Amino acid sequence: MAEILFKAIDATNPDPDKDRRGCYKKGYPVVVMPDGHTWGKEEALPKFIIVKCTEVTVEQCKQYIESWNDNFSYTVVSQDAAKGIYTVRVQNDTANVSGLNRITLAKVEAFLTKWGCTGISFTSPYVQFTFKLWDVVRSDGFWGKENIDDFASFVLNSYDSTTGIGTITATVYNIPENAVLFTIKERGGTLISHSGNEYQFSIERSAIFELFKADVKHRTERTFCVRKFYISEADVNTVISAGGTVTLTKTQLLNKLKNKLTE
Amino acid sequence: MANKTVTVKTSGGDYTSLAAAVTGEQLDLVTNTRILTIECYSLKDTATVSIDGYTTSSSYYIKITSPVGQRHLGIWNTGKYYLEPASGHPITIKEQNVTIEFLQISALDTNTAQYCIFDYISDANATIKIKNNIFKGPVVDSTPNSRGVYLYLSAATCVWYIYNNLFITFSGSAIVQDTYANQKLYAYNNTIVNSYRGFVRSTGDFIAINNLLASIGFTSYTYVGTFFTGSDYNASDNDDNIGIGGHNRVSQTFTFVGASDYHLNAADAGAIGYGVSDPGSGLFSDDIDGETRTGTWDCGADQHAAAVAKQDIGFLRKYKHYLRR
Repeated sequence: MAEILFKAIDATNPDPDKDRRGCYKKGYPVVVMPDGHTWGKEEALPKFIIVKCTEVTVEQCKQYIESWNDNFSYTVVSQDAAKGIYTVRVQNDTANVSGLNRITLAKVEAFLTKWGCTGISFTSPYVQFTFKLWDVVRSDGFWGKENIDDFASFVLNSYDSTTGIGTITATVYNIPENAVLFTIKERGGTLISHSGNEYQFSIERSAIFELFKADVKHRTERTFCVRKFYISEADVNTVISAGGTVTLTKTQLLNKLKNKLTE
Repeated sequence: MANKTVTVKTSGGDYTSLAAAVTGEQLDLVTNTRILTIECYSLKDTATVSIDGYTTSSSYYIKITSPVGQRHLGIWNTGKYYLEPASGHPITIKEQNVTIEFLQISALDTNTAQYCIFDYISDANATIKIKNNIFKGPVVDSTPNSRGVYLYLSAATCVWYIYNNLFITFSGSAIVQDTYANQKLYAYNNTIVNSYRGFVRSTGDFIAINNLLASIGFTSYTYVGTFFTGSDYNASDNDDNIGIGGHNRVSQTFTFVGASDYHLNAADAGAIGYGVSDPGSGLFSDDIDGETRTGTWDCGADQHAAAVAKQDIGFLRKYKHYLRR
């Protein structure tokens, strides 16, 4: 019930990063269409081959046209919740078996620093750092603004180590009111009061940590390779020899699809 | 090597999806001295598109368009080409020189945020033009924070021109210039309606001129952040002011042609004639319909019957879209 369009020739780019993350190579799947799809004139040899499989649906095939993307995960190694201090490790769950695409210090260090993290170190396969809530809530990363120290000062009014809720007063200069309110809301805070350039708000520690994790993932995760799955050049050549189109059983298709993550 | 035009059609064309076209034509356009034009004809396209792997320049670039006769007429029309993936960002731009025009792109995933145009340019010196498109979001709400154009990564040496576009119903914002995006962004004559937020600026230079923002869900977030010198002549129907420029209009009453037709009605008193003419200094002279703007420009993507007494031909304007079908 599905037809998969595979590249039959390599696209290349002299920039090795761009070549890997953006150029479709011979054997990479491109799009999936329903059985009986009328392909375009260019969606054929010499650029493409078509593999038909009546035993799989378009939905089932979509996983095979996914890119090989970073996927960072976090582990809290130790914590002092009363002080709001955590030791955290981050690693890339989509490094392959050979270690390709493991996390590097260069990949995340700048963003961890923006978020006020300290003690950043690398021990393969992870990066470890110290995450202090009070540092984080005053960081460039939290406020989404470079050099936030030049624009704001902060006072910690209270912190309940049981509930994890802190109350903070931010005195802000040269940032529009709606931008400040926007940031507090976006960051999961609740505005308590606002007078002039003083904003008092409360925020809960798990909200900060979740936001931090999401932001670092968002900012630093990249496409490592344009496709995660592929079929071999030999298999492509076989299809080319057969005229550019072949029909396979589900078992045959799955046997030909190779996953870069397991290599 | 000559310039090349390929088509995306349901049948009889070169490709049957924009994603396949962008993949099949990957090339060093500079070495091959080629402008690549991809023409999209009437169809529903559901494959996400990542524009990457090319080499481009300001002279040899990628242009994705709908040809004359195949274009939307300023109203969302499923009879024309529209890109509507169930999930994932419809178009991610990683190349430096790209123009996207006259497309309809929707981000309807109500679970995970989609960005109709997602800036993922890691190279310097990009020039991107996003014009005469219609972008449609899922709902008017704060979640899942879907966006029309999300400027996310491109650097200070990059320039984005976003003009003559219609943004409808975004649960996040119409245009976002994010924290680490330092590019210069020019937003001219866009119409934003029924979105949760309008324009959000964090770090780069955001110059907004002649835009029309109506029925923004979170009123005080019509304009978020400090906008750059030169921003002016924007109009909104709430009291949020962009904060720079002496000709912006707040608390206006806009009158559109219909409930889902955001062309300006002759009776409009909030946008017609309140823009500044030629804000882009020659960059463009048409409106979302591709019609030449004359006289004093209006705010928003549509130019109401120019150069002729508006009231006199208002009824023609009202029906022109039906007449053209």
